[in-house]
Amino acid sequence: MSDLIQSFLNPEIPFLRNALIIGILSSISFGVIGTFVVIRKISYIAGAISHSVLAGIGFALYAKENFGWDWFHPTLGAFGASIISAVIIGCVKIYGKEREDSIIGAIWAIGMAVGLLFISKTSGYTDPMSYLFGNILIVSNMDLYLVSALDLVVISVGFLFFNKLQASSFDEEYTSIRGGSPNFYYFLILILTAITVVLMTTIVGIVMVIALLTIPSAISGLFYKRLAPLIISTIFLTTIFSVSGITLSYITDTPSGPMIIILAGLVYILSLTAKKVLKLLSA
Amino acid sequence: MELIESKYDNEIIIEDVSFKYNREEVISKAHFHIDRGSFVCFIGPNGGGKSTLAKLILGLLKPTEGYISIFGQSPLKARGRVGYVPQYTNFDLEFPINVIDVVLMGRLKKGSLFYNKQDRDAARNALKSVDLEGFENRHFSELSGGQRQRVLIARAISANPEVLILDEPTSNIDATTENMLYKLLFKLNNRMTIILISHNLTFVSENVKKVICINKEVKIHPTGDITSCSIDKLFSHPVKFVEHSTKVEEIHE
Ligand SMILES: Nc1ncnc2c1ncn2[C@@H]1O[C@H](COP(=O)(O)OP(=O)(O)O)[C@@H](O)[C@H]1O
Ligand SMILES: [Mg+2]
Repeated sequence: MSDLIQSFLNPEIPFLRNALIIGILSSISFGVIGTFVVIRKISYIAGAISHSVLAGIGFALYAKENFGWDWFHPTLGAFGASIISAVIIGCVKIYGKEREDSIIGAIWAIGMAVGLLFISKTSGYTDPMSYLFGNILIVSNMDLYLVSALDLVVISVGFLFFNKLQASSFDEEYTSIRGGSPNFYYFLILILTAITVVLMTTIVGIVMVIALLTIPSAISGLFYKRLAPLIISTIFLTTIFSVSGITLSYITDTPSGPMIIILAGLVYILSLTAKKVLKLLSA
Repeated sequence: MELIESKYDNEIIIEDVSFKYNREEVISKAHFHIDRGSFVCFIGPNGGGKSTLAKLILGLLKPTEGYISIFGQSPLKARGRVGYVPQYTNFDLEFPINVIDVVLMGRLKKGSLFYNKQDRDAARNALKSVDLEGFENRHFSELSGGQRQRVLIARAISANPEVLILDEPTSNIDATTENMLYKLLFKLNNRMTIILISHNLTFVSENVKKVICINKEVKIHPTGDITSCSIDKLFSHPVKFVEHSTKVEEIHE
């Protein structure tokens, strides 16, 4: 244990400290946005957005090497790609006549394809595995700054628009009768989801970030029926899962994403069982 | 001129309104006025266009042809003045929301992000007027169908609208609750114009001043002279009128 604390404080390995701070900071965004994603039933959209992020990461790595864009950090690339996907999906739902789910599937797959092609043409040592399944070793100071800034955006917008987001998620028609624009709030949710997904991409990985976005909220949903406690409990659970997952992954030298998701999944299964048992006992 | 202006400000005017979702006309040249303070019923068969007409008045849909004005304002401008209880309560009952948060939706305002004390008081008063005091923190899904309906009415009246439109509010509730609901509506009619949509004809005619029959085309009847003929024409099959104490006219068997 004291070893662990030492590694945490060790300036030689800043990535562990950065990863833990990122985990804790992003939990707030995950709690708020994850809950909205779950109650609006748009986790498949969040899935498409998160997978498309690989295109941005791939392009950033490629551009860094081939165009000398040193400022183009992979997290910036991820941010760009996720916003573009969110805007496309939002426009399709609002203006498009195409089937929404085909577009979502296309964004999902094309995003990954583009990303893998860019990575394959980048000669430096880049293992796509790190981005797909999370790797705390690639967490840099830059990540910490970018994530903190984005996190702040999600938290303040989420706080300011809480009532409107709740109302429009519950009843779009009535929101527009009261002069609000449900499309605007839908867009807002998509954009916030896009940013949130990026926050934990390096730690949890593109493939599994969607699970961290939805499982904690699903667990909380088993026990809470009101929005505020639901969100608070989700924030709490996300913090626990990411901090303990990162720590375990460091100790056991395994990828951080699977560790975090396995923890979350186990707790989810246990909670489902516990709830069933409690129900049987009280019946 | 003065006189015309003030009359215009005191009427809901539907002038030659037609509407189509796709190719087929759903509302065809509807033309009628509703006086401020009146209690009117829209009746007609399923699919006749009643909900569509309500949405046109609410500004949720735009007429393909014609003109609508609510007390001198366009439907979009008049939005804050019109309360609405939607037809189906096909809400996601898993959705985590309290009764008070549902009612507060009626106080949503453009350009203000948070609810203030005035909003909360108005929401609480609205709940009181539908006899749901003390239900503020109940989860919306824990209520019965009739209670949920009343919460939606509270939401609609919490902004103190001048017009209240209710789309088939009695379709999912039992007779006792229905009677209670009518009593409430007649009480509310003292301070607002009421448009009640219904596909059955068990309205209480004594208080309903005007019946507007909607089956693509629109026909208007003062409640006194609905004849079996016009009702039968409206619903392409003979209509059995449900007797409802002495207050309801029996029309056809
Ligand atoms: N969103 C929509 N898109 C296309 N057609 C619609 C839509 N809503 C209603 N309709 C059609 O318009 C007609 C009138 O519907 P509606 O106004 O709901 O009738 P009512 O409320 O009298 O039962 C019906 O034929 C219905 O199928
Ligand atoms: Mg209808």
